Amino acid sequence: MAHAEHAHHITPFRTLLGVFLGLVFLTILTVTTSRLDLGVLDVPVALAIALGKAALVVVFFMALKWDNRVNGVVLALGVLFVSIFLVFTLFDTAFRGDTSNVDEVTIKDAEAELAAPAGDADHGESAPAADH
Amino acid sequence: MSVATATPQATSGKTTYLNHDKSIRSWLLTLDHKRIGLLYLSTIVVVFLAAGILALLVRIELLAPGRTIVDAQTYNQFFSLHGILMVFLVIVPSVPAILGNFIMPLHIGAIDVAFPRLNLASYYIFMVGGVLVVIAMVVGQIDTGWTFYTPYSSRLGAPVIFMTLAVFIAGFSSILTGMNFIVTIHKMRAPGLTWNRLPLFVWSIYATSIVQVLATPVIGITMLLLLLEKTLGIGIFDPAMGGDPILFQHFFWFYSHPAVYIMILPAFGIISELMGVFSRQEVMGYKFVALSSVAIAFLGFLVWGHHMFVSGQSTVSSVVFSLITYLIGIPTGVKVINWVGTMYKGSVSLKTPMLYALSFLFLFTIGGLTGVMLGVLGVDVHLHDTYFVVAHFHYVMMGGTIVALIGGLYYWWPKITGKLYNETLGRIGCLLVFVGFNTTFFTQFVLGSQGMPRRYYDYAEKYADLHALSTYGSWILAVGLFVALYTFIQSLMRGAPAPANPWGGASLEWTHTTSPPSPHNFEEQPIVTHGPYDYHHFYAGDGQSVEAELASRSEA
Ligand SMILES: [Cu+2]
Repeated sequence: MAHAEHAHHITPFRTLLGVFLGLVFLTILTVTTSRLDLGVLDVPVALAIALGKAALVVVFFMALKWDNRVNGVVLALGVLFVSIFLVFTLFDTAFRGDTSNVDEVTIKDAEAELAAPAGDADHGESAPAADH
Repeated sequence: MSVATATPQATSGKTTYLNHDKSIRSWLLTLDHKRIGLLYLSTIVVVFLAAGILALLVRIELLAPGRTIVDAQTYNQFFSLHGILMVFLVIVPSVPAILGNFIMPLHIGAIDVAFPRLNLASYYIFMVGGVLVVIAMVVGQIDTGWTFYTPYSSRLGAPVIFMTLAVFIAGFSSILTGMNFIVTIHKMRAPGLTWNRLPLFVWSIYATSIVQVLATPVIGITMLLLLLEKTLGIGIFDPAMGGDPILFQHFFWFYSHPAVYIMILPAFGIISELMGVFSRQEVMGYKFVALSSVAIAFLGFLVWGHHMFVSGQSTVSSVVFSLITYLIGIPTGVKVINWVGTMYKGSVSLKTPMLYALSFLFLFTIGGLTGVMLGVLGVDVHLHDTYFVVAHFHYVMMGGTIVALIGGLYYWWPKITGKLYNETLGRIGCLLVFVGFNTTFFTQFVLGSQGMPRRYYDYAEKYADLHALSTYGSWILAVGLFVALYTFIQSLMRGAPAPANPWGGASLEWTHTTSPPSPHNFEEQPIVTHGPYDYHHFYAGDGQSVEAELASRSEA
């Protein structure tokens, strides 16, 4: 590559300081949110803040901003494919166990209930079709 | 290496990459992409033979119900060995490592790949991986099938981790080859060779390389997690420690589904070349064919869950994965339609490579369409783990990739060896492969739809006739493959010298190099002024038939 020997970009002190303060702020934010009960959002919020911090470090401290654009694309692609893997896998684990009527009355049970004289016939009939 | 001793008469007196240095050392330490391609070829042919014999043994065992030749335990190991060898050591590396290495630099007018030393290192890393795979199989007595599913495989423990390591080392060779090819295609194209003039084979190798670099590391991560679980007792896949066995399938298929495209995309590239040259027409919809490779490469990362419909994966995921799987049908259909369109009103010449290309078209279309059927959630629940699936992926992997590879070998054989082969024998081999393949595997579609589960040692009496038919088919297929092998060996021994451009191709390997090429490929820097399928650029199409033109060329 012809421009492989290009001079290192010198990041101004003010920028570095700004990024540092940003990182400190985000750390405080992490600690604060960890004490709040955000319910389902607990992990996503923590991950989002961590992602922001990582981005600051990579873009400014590791000077990706002033680097060859291809390196940015490569990083972005890597992050994209990791996210694809995580999102789809979590999509499975989050909804695991919703497999139609496994928690419901099985057809055999329903038949037994129907056959039983004192059985709750109404419940027995609707159970096999109880798909949500 | 018999190849080394074959001095082509066509270029008698001329220095070629085959005769400029004949020592064993010059072969084993070569940095020449052409020789490295041949190293891969010889290795992969040996593994293919071994895995093929295992397949024949599996089929013989299944010839009749009950014990036929081996016990159940041995049978389990046989089909596992067959699958692991074929997938990881034959089909994954085959086309990129053999023809990608040999042809791609010639296609782009380069003197070699970008990193020749890395290229040689890739070969030896592949060899290390291959040896470890064999050790793991033999010592560990792996009988899990090629997918190593937990919890079935975690029962075996160490051997499976060892095997994952071996597969990852072999895969690492793919990563390095992929990186090498990406840089080569970006940086080393001849002047005038724009992205729009790239032969479609190069496009497909490019798309494959990207998948190799992005997907293969996941197998390494999986191995690391298995190792952590085993040594530190962290529950990852083992439910007894709070792990999730289905997670293993997520990891496995996040690599292995894209790996399916590592296996089939380069084959698409070969078929595009063959369709163009032997129809004497520009490949229809060049840009669509090129970009559909990239689209398939990307979409291939979003569908892995279609292997897990009955694993206990959430229904929501299954529905999403099923829908995205349908999308793959679009770019794949684009390719098939464009190949058929390329032949339309062309002067189709039914030489052996073209017969393999037509076989591919037929077999791959069946394989692809049954793939869509299996992607349908409701249908898959019934067909999952039956012979229908076995038939489907053999139609894609064997009927697709291997058939395309053989077609490509016939096509580039005169360039690689400087020898012509016996056309009649080649055609007979192709016919036997086609008939044998369909007898073996179409039968299995029927078996599967009737409920015959895959991997079973024994089966009910009602399946006996179809199983026997499938086994007879495997013998025809084997004979066909041996006829093909014989054609190549006979050509090496007694083949007539090949002209530089026996097929009248318009890409650089035909127009600008001798057969076989000189050690440095091109006598001078080629300058590209037209597309790879602009045959009219050379041949005015003055009413002379292709057959006559080809005949005059091979006499020349
Ligand atoms: Cu798949």
